[in-house]
Amino acid sequence: MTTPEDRLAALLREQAETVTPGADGLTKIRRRLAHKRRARLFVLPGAALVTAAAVAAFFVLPGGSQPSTLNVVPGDTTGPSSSPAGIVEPSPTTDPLAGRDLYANATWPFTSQEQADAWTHDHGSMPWAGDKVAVAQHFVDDFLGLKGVTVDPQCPECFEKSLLGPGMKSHEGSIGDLALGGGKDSGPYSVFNVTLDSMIVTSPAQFDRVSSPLTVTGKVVGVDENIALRLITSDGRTIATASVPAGSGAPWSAVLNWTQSDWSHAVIVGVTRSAKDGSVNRVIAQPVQQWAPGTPSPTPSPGPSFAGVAGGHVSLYDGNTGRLVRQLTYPHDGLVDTDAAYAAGSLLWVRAQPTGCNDALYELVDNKASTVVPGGRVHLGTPRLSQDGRWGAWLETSCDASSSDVVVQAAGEPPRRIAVPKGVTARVLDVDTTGSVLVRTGDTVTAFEAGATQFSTGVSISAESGCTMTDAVVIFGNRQSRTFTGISLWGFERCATGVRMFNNSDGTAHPNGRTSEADQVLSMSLGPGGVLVSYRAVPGGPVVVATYNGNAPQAAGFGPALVYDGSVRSPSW
Amino acid sequence: MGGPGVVPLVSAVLAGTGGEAVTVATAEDQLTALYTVHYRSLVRMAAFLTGDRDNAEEVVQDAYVKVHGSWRGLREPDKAEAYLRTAVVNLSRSRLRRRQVAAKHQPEPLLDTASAESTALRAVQREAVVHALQQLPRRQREAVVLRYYGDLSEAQTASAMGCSVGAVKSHTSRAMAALRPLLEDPS
Repeated sequence: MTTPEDRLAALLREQAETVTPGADGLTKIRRRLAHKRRARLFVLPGAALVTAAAVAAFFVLPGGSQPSTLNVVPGDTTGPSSSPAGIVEPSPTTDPLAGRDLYANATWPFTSQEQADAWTHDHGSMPWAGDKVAVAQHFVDDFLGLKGVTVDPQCPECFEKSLLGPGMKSHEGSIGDLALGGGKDSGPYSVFNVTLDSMIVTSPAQFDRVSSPLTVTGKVVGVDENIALRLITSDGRTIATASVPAGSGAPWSAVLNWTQSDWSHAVIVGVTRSAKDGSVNRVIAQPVQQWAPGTPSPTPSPGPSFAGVAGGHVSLYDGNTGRLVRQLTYPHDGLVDTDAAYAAGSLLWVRAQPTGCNDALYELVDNKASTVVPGGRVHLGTPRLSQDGRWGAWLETSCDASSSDVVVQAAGEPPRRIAVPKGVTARVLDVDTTGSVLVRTGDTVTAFEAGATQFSTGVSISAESGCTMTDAVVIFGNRQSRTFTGISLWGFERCATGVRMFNNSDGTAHPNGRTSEADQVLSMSLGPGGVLVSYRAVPGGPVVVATYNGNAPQAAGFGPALVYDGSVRSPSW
Repeated sequence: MGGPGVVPLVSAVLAGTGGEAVTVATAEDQLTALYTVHYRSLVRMAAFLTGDRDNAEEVVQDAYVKVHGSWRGLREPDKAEAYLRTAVVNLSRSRLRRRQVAAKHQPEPLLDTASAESTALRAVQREAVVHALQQLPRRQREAVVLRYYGDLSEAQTASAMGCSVGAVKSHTSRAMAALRPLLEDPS
């Protein structure tokens, strides 16, 4: 009887046997070592002071879906390849990089094969470009203009091990990974990007074509910091700057504006500094290209994303295009994901058995999944997340449908339950950043203040007889609007004549204040100044966007209107 | 549980028949010797750690280059094996990190992986285990690969991973808990 550990060891050994290294490994190691010695002698007369510079020549293949690394040695026509069975064995191949512009997406100092070839013939003012360490250091000093950062000669591509800033011990810092690439074993090297796990730019993506104004978004894990953003062209000009506070894993966003158009390649550089002494804490550099008129459209800034369920699993979709961004969940056999909510990078979703009553609720935060409600004898549905992702709300119904609760819960806090009257079918429409919820029951929408536990304490509006409720928003006086107290509910109803908007206006439940624009209401959302409504006053005419502050049914309560031609998104978005 | 992974370096390469260290070996000799004895097993280890056979060789070559500059000055030449192993672990981490960051920037739709086509139950189980291995958190994967493929002790594993023995035990235990359902004895 063997133990699981024994069986694992045996399986791993069997699997390992399928991996056969190429026969030229020693040759490649020797070539790298020889190159390293040449580079050190050429560039660093004081190389004796530098201990064992580990110059592992690798090349980041530009433009691929993943950064592949290849050893490229002049005259070398063999390399590892995968057989159909996955066995790595030497096989004759042609140079896959032949004829390619290896520097097309590089940032600095070479942005084209032509420039690199020119350097090969004449090193000019950059005799150091054949040495990785020197290129990395020049990039930091000359291009980024950062003081007090010394590239570790042992690992020029590992910034995280190379910060020797003022007041910091060696290897203490966390700057980022520097991707250096050289088309040939003898260089020259060029910097592609600087990446860091704990501070990332989520948009634009690397090598996106961008135009001004450019919205840059990202995430920072860890303590709050101020990110100084710069857009630096490949010839070293800073053409746009911005600053944004970030931290704690929350998404950040900043806008870069520029007017110069005489550039093709640039890099978005983000730097954070120590509040204590101003030394550099973290650095990222995201390469981009300029969008040129007449070329394909610049990569759009990401719109709102939303999670949808299709095929029994949850996926993330682009809110502007509806394009699938990525699959988020992978339920095991026999289970399906049935409903999901997505906000601020967090996901809340229901996993169920297709038949039966044993639903569970999970959340995904910072790519870590955890259980919110373990699988049990209940049906779960309509999960919702607040805009900041902190509050979740969902409906929990007993297996025999005899009772159901609206459950509201914030991270780290116990759940709060609002029992739904018997015989009433409910669904959660929304939960806000304070834990207030909006619940729909039939053609009635009810708003509950944060902390409410009794269904009877909610404020409701209902569609008129013959109409169907389609959507609603709520404004809480004194919290979201200073102009009134109480709860102001605004809803859409679809009637035989079309869609129209109405509200409870004075804090009570009677649905007066229905718009005179009748069938021309297009969308409604909650903005900073009240409810933002778009409608057409005249069939086929321009779209009117007006802000209603929710105070009163009088005309004085209507905010300034903006008229523009264009489309608006449907309420269901 | 006889491990195929990393055989003792000193006894195999750098020590004489009497067990005394050979001190006259040049760096080139040492490189050749280390390559002969360890290259293959380290490539296989890197393939497990990175889940990427194509780049495993490169990781290991990097490790040799990195360690080469240091082993002349090693007080204990037999530590070269441990240095190499640690370098492979660290470089595999770095490679994974770059790959993950790139993936973050280019969120392509993730496709379901087709199940392995195999008629042999054993091969199916192996594929499932290897797949599950790649789904483990990085440190758990490192712990089980070093322990059960490299056949290292907990102390040696801790040294290679740069963590405590207790952490190795914890990582190994969690990893085995995740893998155990796939390791049921067919008999």
